[in-house]
Amino acid sequence: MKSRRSFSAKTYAAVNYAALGLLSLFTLYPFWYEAASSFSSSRAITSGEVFLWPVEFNTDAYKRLLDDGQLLVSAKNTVLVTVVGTLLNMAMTVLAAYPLSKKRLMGRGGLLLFITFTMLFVSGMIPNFILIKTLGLINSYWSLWLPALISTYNLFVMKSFFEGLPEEIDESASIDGANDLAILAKIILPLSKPILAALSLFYAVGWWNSYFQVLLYITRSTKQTLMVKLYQMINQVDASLLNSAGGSEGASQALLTPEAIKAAAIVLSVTPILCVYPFLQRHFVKGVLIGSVKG
Amino acid sequence: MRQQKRKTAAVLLALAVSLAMLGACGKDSGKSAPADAKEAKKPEISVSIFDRGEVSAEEGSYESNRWTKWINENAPATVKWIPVPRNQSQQKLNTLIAAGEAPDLIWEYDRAYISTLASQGAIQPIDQYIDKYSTSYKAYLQAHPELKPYLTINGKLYAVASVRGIDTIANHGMWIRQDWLDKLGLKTPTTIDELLDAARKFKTDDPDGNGKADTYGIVFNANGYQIMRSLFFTHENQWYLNDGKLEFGRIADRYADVLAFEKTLFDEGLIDQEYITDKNAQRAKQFWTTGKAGIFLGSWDMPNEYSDLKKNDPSAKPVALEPVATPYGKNGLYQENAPYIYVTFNKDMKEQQAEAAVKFLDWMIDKGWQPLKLGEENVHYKLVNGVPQTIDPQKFRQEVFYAREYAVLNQYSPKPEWFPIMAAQDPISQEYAKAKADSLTVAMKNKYRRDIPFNPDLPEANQLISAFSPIAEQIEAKVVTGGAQMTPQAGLDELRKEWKRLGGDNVEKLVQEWYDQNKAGMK
Amino acid sequence: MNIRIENKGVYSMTGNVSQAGAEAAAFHPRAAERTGSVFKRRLSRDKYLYLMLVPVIGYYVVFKYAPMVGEVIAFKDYRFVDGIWGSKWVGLKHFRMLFESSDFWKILRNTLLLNVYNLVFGFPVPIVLSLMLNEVRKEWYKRTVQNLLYVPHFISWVILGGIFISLLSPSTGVVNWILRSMGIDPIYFMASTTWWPVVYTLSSIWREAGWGTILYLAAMANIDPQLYEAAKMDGASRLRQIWHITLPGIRGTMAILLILRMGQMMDVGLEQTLVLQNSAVLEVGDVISTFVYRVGLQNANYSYTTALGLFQSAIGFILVLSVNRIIKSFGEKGLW
Repeated sequence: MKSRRSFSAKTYAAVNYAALGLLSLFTLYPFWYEAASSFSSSRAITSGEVFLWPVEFNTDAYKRLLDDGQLLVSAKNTVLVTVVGTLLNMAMTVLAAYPLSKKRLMGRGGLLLFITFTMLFVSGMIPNFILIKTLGLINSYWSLWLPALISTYNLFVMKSFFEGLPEEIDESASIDGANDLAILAKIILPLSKPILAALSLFYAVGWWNSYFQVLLYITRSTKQTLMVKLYQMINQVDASLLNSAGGSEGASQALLTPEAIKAAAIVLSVTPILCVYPFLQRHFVKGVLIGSVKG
Repeated sequence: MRQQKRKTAAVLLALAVSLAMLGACGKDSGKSAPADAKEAKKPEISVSIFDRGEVSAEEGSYESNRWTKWINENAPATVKWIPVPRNQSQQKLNTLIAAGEAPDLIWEYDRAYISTLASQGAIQPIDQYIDKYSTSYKAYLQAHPELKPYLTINGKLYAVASVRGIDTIANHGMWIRQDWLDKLGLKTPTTIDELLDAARKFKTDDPDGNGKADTYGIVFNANGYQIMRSLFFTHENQWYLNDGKLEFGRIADRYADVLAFEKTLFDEGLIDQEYITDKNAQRAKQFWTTGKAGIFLGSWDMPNEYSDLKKNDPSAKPVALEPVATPYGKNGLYQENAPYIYVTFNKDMKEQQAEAAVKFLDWMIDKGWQPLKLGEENVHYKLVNGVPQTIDPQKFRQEVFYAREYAVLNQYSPKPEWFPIMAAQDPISQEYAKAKADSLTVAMKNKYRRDIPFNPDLPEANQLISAFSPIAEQIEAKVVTGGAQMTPQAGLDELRKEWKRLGGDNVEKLVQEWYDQNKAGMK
Repeated sequence: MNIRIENKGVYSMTGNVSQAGAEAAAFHPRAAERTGSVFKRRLSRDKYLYLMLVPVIGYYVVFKYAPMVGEVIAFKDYRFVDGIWGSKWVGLKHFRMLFESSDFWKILRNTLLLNVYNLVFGFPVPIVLSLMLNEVRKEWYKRTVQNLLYVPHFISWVILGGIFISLLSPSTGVVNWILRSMGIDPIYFMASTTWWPVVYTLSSIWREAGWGTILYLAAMANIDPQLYEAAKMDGASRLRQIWHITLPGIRGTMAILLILRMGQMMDVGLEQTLVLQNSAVLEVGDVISTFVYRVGLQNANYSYTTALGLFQSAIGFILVLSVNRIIKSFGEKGLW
């Protein structure tokens, strides 16, 4: 009886492991393909010879990309935008989510409706631009950070997480005389590591990939971010622009980026942010680990 | 090795940082510098510039680099350049305009956009400014009357532009494998039937000699549809004159012949059976560069496709193919209109600024443009038989190439025979330069038919066309790929039915009125 | 006093919408005095909470609500030269134009259908994946797999689309190669109006499912380990543990994500659609975002596109409110 059971548990685990492994190979492929392409010759890519491994291996694409000093400047800018942006986001989201998770708060329903409304009714590009201009934020990174201080989506996720924490915790703390700020800082936040990690990741990825806002508000080349630089290389020619009925710049005006360089630009833009999650992941397993060590 | 790389990276970083700091300092101290006193007399104007991300850190930025400095030293005005990202240029310009932040001079390649700006009241008519203040551009415009209709909106002059060089007038192009023609004993096709015949032979007679039926007659990129259509004198979104009446290309009688032609190509397997999903021409390029296709419908200038094919098959000999004749005659392939960049004046510009802008433009069309296109003589180029030859392509790309669009007006027009002198010296580049010269000659040999210089600027018409085109695309796909489902004639009938349903009759009436009102200015 | 407040809490739990009970009470003259002191006491008790909300409310007012006044151009003929305020009022003209155009309803239908497929088939996948991941006991394996699963989230649709199209190619694609080897005729998936929505949905799942596991895993990390211990003592199998502990543990997250997903029912990603769409499938593949893209390309037609945007928002808002209501009637915590 016992051995049968452990046998079925083993098959169960094996199937699970295998299925996950297979799926992850599927999802890795696009990146793998781009990485292989970035070390191949553009000729081999166009000729459809690259599939799993680089063909005509070379590192010219990376050399060309890294030769441009602007890329390093923009990478630094992106790190700054991402780190500061994420910190501001997390601070504001906690400030919003914690009080709103308290059922006892007067006016809570109204406030939540007030906030939900902005999640769906989004204002257009032009009024936003005028606002940023009026505040004098053009060409300052505050033009990116301030309008995006809170993602309402993330706010609701965090609020619902706080609501899921056992109520006895802060009840007992408030009996001990701690005020709400102290409860939040000393008790709630340490308990919320998984969600803090997850939302930091969401925010950071958003900042890392932010593109359109940067185009709109940051005109100074020295403040440009990595994504804008790389996008310029990847999407240099938009077919729809070339074929506008009203006249176009002509085939020879636009510089076509070789395939290998596009691939290298993609690899360079994706790799750093892919590496963030593994660091955050350890905050995910704390709770589970205690209970499942003996698995 | 690795350490060295890291070192170079560090040096580059340091360089970039110090440059950025220098740039910042320069800007601040510039205000009090005595050199500024002289410049202060010059009026200041702002001009948009496409940011294509081509200015390296070493060169500075789009706002400030060797060429902007050069312009400010030499032009009659101090220019502040406002970068606009190329990918989102119209959105960004619109936003700037709406926020009252737009530069004095706003420019685009797209006339439709300029006409939108005019109807939105974002730019102002400039007849009087040109009249009063211009000498060089006034003379230039007189020498090039063909520009006039494009620059005029509702009877008023709204933009200035110079004439395109022929290398940007020419646009679409067809390429054919001469070596395959020779091998199969075919002559260069000159009619649509001969083209079909060549495509059939390319498919069936094993031109690559590998004993397998794995070749295609024709491959094409996004231009291909329009190429096939223009052979029959029907650009799908263009209006044509028929007995003094304007008729929309996509519902003209001859459009059925286009559909029939495309259908034949598809049914006989002369084109890729999956062309519908090959929107970025990945497969087309692959077939062509691996020597599996005999004809490529694309652009007149296709350096990458050419050299990749040559690398895969050194014996390949692609040459430009002149448009073939259809029962309706011989049309040219799509060419651009005469004007290059349309430069317009912001509505907020006062007389004084407008004067400065006109003088700046005068200077640009006179002599300002030359170094911006070619660089400095004997530094970036030298004259070989009167042709500018780039001395060091690497240096040119780094220091000059990005400057081409600062020359919003220019008289640059390379001749086909310049290409071999301008090109790099390696054999493939030289061979391509010759093929490219021929291709440009071929592309300019036949004029592309355009009965009216541009489409009517009517919101109703634009709305109809944008609603009609996805429906039309579906019908066309059904005709071409659907076998017996729908004949070309039935397809055309269906197109007309949909056109009418979406309000085509009314739009045709409006368009006709528009034409009757404006035709005098279109000649 | 305390008891009364508790009572209110219970009311709102059972789905009574009168959240703002205190405010409502203020309308009864006799109750006013009593609630006045309650009001003050609650205010002073929660002063830190309100303090925290000050910057938050300020943010929403300045950066969300202030620019929203620009939406009035939906009721105007916006021209650059006249500005937002100076432009002519035209009432519901743009809405009429929108609803009267016969193709709008087709586009709306396509948008909703793709979203429904995405919801029905796409929503459960991250949950299943995270349950599977949660069962993995080898920590390194779990982490690696999870990292690999979300990689496509970072790759743009242009590239993913290209790969999908070539995988599904009838002549050279792997999928059809497998079909052929099983004696099935190749299928041109991308050009078939029947298959295209399936492919579209699968491609969304492929890109986003791994990324979607993050929140569920975060929720699972907070389930009390003692629960599992106790269940094991009782001899509950793995599946029973999932059913009785893990799933209830992430139910709140599921509910909230489902409600939030409702807000996007009127949106279909532009880039994804442009990349996957082709002329053979426009009948099912033409959606609101591609429509706006086409219209927006010309004429700076801001009034029209704003009107469309408002319509989308309104429907999304209604969907969010209704689903929130439904979820709460199941006894789950909703948005509020």
